[in-house]
Amino acid sequence: MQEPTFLILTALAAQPLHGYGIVQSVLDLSSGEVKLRPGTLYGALDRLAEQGLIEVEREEAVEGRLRRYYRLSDSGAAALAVEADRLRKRAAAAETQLRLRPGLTGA
Amino acid sequence: MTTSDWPQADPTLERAYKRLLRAYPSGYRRRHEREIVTTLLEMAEPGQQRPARADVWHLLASGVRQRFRLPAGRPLAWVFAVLALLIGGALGAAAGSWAATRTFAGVPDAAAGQALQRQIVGSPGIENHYHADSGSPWWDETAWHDTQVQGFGGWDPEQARQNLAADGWQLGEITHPPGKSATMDENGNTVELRTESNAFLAERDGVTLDIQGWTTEMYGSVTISMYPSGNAALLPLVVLGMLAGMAAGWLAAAALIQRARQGAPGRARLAVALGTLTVLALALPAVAFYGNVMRAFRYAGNDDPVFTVHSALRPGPYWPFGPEWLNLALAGAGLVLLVALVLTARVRPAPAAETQTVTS
Repeated sequence: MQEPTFLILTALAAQPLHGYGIVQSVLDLSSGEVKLRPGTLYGALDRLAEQGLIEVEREEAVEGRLRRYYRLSDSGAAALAVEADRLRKRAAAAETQLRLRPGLTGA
Repeated sequence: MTTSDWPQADPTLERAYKRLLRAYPSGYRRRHEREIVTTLLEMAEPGQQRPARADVWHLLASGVRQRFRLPAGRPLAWVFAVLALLIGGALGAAAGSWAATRTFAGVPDAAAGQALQRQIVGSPGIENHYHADSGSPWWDETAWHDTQVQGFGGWDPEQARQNLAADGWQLGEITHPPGKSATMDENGNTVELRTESNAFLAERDGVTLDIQGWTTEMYGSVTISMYPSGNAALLPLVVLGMLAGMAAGWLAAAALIQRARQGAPGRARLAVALGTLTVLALALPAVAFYGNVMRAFRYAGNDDPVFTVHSALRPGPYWPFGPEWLNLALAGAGLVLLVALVLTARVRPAPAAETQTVTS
């Protein structure tokens, strides 16, 4: 799972969000490192919807504007949990290796 | 919720974003344009009147990428798209080949052939004939002119070369192809005859003449084969056509797949059936085109008629099976099926989800 995908699913884990809400949430979650552009965002949302990982919850429209709210599906939540666990194990392995590095007294 | 937290933007900026979104497929725009524009306006800086340059390129690139994109988790869609790419490449190579031959010199007609015969043979001979050849599944039209002459004195190749050179023809080396002539004596025994052979090429104004004379003591013949020399446009146009055809094939497949998915299940099944039949019909002509692409490269620059790709549609013994018009018939049937497939997939999807209208 690519980082933008992971962050989008993470952003939707707590609550349904519309496009701009996802952009802002991903920016917060990544401490300002990942600013999704609309082309990337909607390409990812389309793909995730096709995979059944997210669903459209509702739409709001006013004066030609449209906000479509997306929510994490059950299978999306499961996929996110698996990815989070995988990343946690990777991070733990990296920390273990770093502690074994010669010359370091350990963190 | 009120309209106060909705983005208010310069209409110029909104129009500019909508123009950029034309890079996306139409079906995708129908589903997402208003949503993406809303997000773009929410992300815009206050007072911004035109899209940032980086956003312009990003939206254009994203739109083009979306056009190439296939639905996730659909292996059959990938199979269909790859086949469409290959078939599109073959059709594109044929189109490039056809376009290149429009720049070739024409085959000398009967009058020009007659004039060349006089120049080369010097006399009408015993008899002479012009023949137009409609070509083969491997090359385009050619022509030849046959003259029957009397014995060794019936044709003087050196004089022919002098006449052609004086008229501006570039001449190749004269050669003497090996060959034998024979007759039967009164006892039924085969008697070999002394045979002279002379052959050379001449080229001028994009036309090649392949001149061959065979004479014995009693009779002889001079054959002038005439065909376009070709030019440097053929292979580049074949390659460009192939690449463009591949891209077009993939794009068409991606668009058709997306549209079929948006349509009713019955129509989607019909589209799959028509797509399968289209691929089946076009497969054999496509293989023939690719075979001719290989020949066009392999025999480029030799002294024979120019090998072209599109000539695979010309009736002839391309395959060791089936009728001579097999490629042409299959290509025609494939194109008819393709039109039916496009019409089937053109049905527009119904509006998707319910939309809640926000009041102010």
